[in-house]
Amino acid sequence: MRSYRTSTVVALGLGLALLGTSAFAEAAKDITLLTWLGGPDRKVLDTLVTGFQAKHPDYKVKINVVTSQGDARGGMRTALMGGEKPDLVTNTWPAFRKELADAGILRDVTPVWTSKGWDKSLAKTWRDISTTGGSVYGIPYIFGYRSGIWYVPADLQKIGLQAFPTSYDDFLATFDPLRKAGFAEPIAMPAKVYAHSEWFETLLMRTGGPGLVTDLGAHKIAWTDPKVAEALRQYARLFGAKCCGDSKLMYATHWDDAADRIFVERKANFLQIGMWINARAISQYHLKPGTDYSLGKFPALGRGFDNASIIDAKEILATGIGSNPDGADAFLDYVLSADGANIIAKAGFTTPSSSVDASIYDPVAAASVRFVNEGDVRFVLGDLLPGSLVDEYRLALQQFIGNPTEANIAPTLERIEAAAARAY
Amino acid sequence: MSAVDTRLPPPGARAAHRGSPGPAPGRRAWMPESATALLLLTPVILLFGLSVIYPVIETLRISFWEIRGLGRPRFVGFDNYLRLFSDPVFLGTLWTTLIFTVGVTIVAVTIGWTIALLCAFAPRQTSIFRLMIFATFGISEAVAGYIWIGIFRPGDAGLLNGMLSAIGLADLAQPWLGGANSALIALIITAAWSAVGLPLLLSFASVQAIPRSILEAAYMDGAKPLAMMWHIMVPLSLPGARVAIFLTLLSSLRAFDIVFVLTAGGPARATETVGFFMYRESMTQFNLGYGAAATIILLIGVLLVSTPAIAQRTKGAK
Repeated sequence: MRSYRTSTVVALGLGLALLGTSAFAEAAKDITLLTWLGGPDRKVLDTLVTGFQAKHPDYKVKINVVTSQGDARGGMRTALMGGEKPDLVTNTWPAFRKELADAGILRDVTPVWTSKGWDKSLAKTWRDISTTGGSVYGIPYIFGYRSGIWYVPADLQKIGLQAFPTSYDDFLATFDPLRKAGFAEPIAMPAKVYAHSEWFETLLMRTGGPGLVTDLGAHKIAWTDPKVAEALRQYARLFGAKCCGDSKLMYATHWDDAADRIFVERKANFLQIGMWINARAISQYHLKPGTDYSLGKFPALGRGFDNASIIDAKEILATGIGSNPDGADAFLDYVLSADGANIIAKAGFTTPSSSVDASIYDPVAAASVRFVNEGDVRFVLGDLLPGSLVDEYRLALQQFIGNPTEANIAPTLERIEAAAARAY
Repeated sequence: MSAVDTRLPPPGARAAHRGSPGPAPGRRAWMPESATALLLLTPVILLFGLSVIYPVIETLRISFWEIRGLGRPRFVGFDNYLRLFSDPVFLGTLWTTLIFTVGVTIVAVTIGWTIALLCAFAPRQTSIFRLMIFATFGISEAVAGYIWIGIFRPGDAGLLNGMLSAIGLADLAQPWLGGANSALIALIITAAWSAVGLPLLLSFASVQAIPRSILEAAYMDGAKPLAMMWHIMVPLSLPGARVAIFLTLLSSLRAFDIVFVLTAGGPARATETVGFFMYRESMTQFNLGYGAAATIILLIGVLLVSTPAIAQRTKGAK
């Protein structure tokens, strides 16, 4: 009887041990990805995961979604502080990448980048903007061109133009004829939250180049620098040329209102905002890309930086707190491969991976890729700056467009500089 | 033998007398009354402690620390509070919150109370009408915000501007959410629309509780409907309206969702309430300590408003 009990206990123990081992083995193959992304962005991730798992059946990717309103960094921080230990995190803010790196959460993938040959898929400029303090923590997988101007070709034809103006002066010169042609506001300036800063940021890039954007983002130069003042002066020229409606209209306009005024109400002509307008124009306005609407490259200022672009990008970062670094690296490699890149392109997004089959893109998306490939890229300032400075920067610009005069340039920049001094 | 039983009542008899299911006379209670009460209250105390007391204590604790993003927290004592009261943005939000709270309460309670008084003359015929108005109270503030964004949109795409143009008042059309004053007024109207159902319900219940004999006597004495409303229904429905004022004040003080959706605090922070400031500092700038200090200030404000009202209600209950 006693030996029967002993053997039962031993058998149970062995069984539990085996179960434990198998559970451990299974856990080792699990890759956890933490994200806040929803909608089409999430769908792309899901499709990438399906494709990856089909190619690597020994791995299973689990996506943990953080629900968040407004700035998703809050939700991501809360999840990480609350004990989440993902292998991968999605990110879109270089400032947040630095914060995560400083907190010891990220893993440097520089050796993996070399061993897996990611340079073949990503141009140097993408590696540059993915670098924080000399280390690379992940890969960009989706980008959006933010130096493009959305317009309706038929509007320009009304004033005798067959193509989008290439110089800034020519661009400003379209405002008067467009107004005379019956359009209430040549530029629909969405200043309700943040989109009014898009014009300024590309002007900053065109005026001082990528170095200026990087240095300003890191606060290596002051906001009161003459180059920044010159960018703001060029910004003021838009208003001087009567680009827009009055300040109340701009403050009441979000980017979707602006898009509606151009493509539905046909009362405005130009909008500078990200690539999500492409999806909106196709699915909501039922317009044909390249024919009913188009994307113009931001006009040249002639200061040597006219091919540089402002972009937004989503990246997947590797962490050092997850349990499956090998699986995480394999997933990153798959995202950059032709299979992964084509999944992204088929979903209507643009990818920095050169492994993509470019014929998948529609004419507008293809144009945006072409513009971006012409020169250096930098992130939008809203993603580069510390969170506490972003609000103040956008607010100062918002108030500047209410009074876009030469006399208001210095006070506006001093105000941002004072906020920057507190933020870094 | 006396007809009156002079013996002391057995334990539990008092409870039985009040109608509560106490032990039968002659049987001892297996647990003292106070212990039973404590046992029954324990789940509520636990839940209240976990969902209310603990978060408040934790928020209070965090308010004494500087926490920036994922960086190492630093104890700063009362610095966050001192900074708050020298921060013009926060002081501006206090003022905005005051205007918003008073505005919403006046508009919502006045409309709700007036409709309740009018409906009292024909309660049955107006039941669908009352139900429709009360339904707005069931709509979340975020949804209300999205509905009113459509109304206040700039250009002819906005319902309000479109209507003004349609009736020949196109000159009055404007970007309602683009001006500091018009945006705050728009916000008050939206929040009042969302809140009006509660004052209506409470005031209507108060009006319905007025004894019919009083109204009939007034009618027999030749009182006109307006006089009856002013001299009888208004004063006698005051208790319901008072509760409505108190509840609307409290919910308006804490306003966040409607501000977030409708104006995002703009233009240029003109409609930023303390609730929105707290969110912006804590969740978008991740200044958790500073945001927590603002939360505690808001909590004190809510307590200042609610304590006298609760004290009065409690006194009334005695």
